[in-house]
Amino acid sequence: MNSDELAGIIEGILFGAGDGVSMTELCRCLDKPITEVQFAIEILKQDYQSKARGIRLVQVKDSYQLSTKPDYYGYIKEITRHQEKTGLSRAALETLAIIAYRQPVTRLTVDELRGVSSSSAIQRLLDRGLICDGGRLEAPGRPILYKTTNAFLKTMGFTSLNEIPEFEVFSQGKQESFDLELLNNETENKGQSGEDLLANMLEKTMGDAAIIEVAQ
Amino acid sequence: MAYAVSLDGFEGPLDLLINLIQKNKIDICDIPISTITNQYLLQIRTWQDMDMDVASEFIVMAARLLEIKAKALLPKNEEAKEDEEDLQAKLVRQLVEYKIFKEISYYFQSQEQRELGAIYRDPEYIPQNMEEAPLVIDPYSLEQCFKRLLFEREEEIEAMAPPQKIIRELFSIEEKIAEITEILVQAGASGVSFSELLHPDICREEVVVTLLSLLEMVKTSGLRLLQNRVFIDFQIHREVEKNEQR
Repeated sequence: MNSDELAGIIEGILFGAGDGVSMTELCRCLDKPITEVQFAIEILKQDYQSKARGIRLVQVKDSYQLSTKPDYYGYIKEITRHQEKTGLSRAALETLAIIAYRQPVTRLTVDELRGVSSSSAIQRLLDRGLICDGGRLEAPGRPILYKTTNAFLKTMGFTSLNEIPEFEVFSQGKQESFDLELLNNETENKGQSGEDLLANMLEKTMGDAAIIEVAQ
Repeated sequence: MAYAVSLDGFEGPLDLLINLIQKNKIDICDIPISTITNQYLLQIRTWQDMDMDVASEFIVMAARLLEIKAKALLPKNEEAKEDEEDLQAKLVRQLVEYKIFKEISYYFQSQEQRELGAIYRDPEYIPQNMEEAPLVIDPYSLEQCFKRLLFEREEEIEAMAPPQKIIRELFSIEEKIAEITEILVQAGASGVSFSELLHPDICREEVVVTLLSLLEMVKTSGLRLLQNRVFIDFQIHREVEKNEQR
């Protein structure tokens, strides 16, 4: 079985499963070492970069899932007639920003940083599964510490917490100098075609695999 | 407060202040406190004139601003000057920090809006193959199975029934502790080994009570247990110093 075939099988598995499938599960059912599976996934990812494909590979931590490309949503919704999806409120977004960068953090800290009570925002984030109970602070009253979840990463389109821009990106300079486009381009550049890139990814993949193997 | 109060789209007093600072095109670290305080109060009065309840957080901030302003107006000694700077510095720090998180929240929003356009597929519902056991059923085996179930159930019910006889406790920990203490006093400095405490025709219950008593004594009256290696007999000593203290 060559890598292309492996990539095809993985595509089949991910489409069939619908839900996210972890790297461990993929390795088990394919009976292949992690390096080979990761290489096949990179092939798949690259294939999806093409404008000719309407599907993309979403990775959250070590779990993989297929979704349609957000860029094509305008056309897709004409057919699916989904009710317009609503995003989070300003209060919820501010609260989420604080929790993401200060986690694990208590409600009191969030309140202080925002200057207003955040309990309803926190409740909404809990309801949507974007944050969760991350233990207790060893202080009077043992307040709950909140942290972000994998659902948060998926909602924001991050692979892992490491992918979130450094806090300094936002704290340096003024709001005007902060360029959203720049950040978005950076993430897109990762997907340029070319054999060099695949080689780079393979190298990176091998490195990751070694780390995962050590961890296991 | 059960719901978020947002007046004119401001998330809170910090939000309003940042808005005023931006409107006045001033540096966040160098706020002309009196101008900002006046504008802030003006805004709150406008809301009050419109008969809107102003959230307590906004009032608290108004008080803070007035305090800073008042301290700035008063003639001051060195100490008071430091105090005033502290108050203002604290507010500036809070504003700077809040502004950063606000920016992050806008970034998160743009990320979220993009991701809202992704559609995920629900897994198709296919009944799962739970167990691949061949089903060979004939009336006889069904009968056997049913009888077995009934029988097992009967046993279970019996086990659950309350005991009819209540057996008196033969050995109590209190008594055993007294007994062991006596043995130890007689043995003196050399102590006794665990096996010496167990007479030849001892029953299982008494062994258990003996061990529990020893553990209790270690906890409460300072026994010392010595064992050279695991799974062998051990030696029991009394803590002599403690004994003398009594």
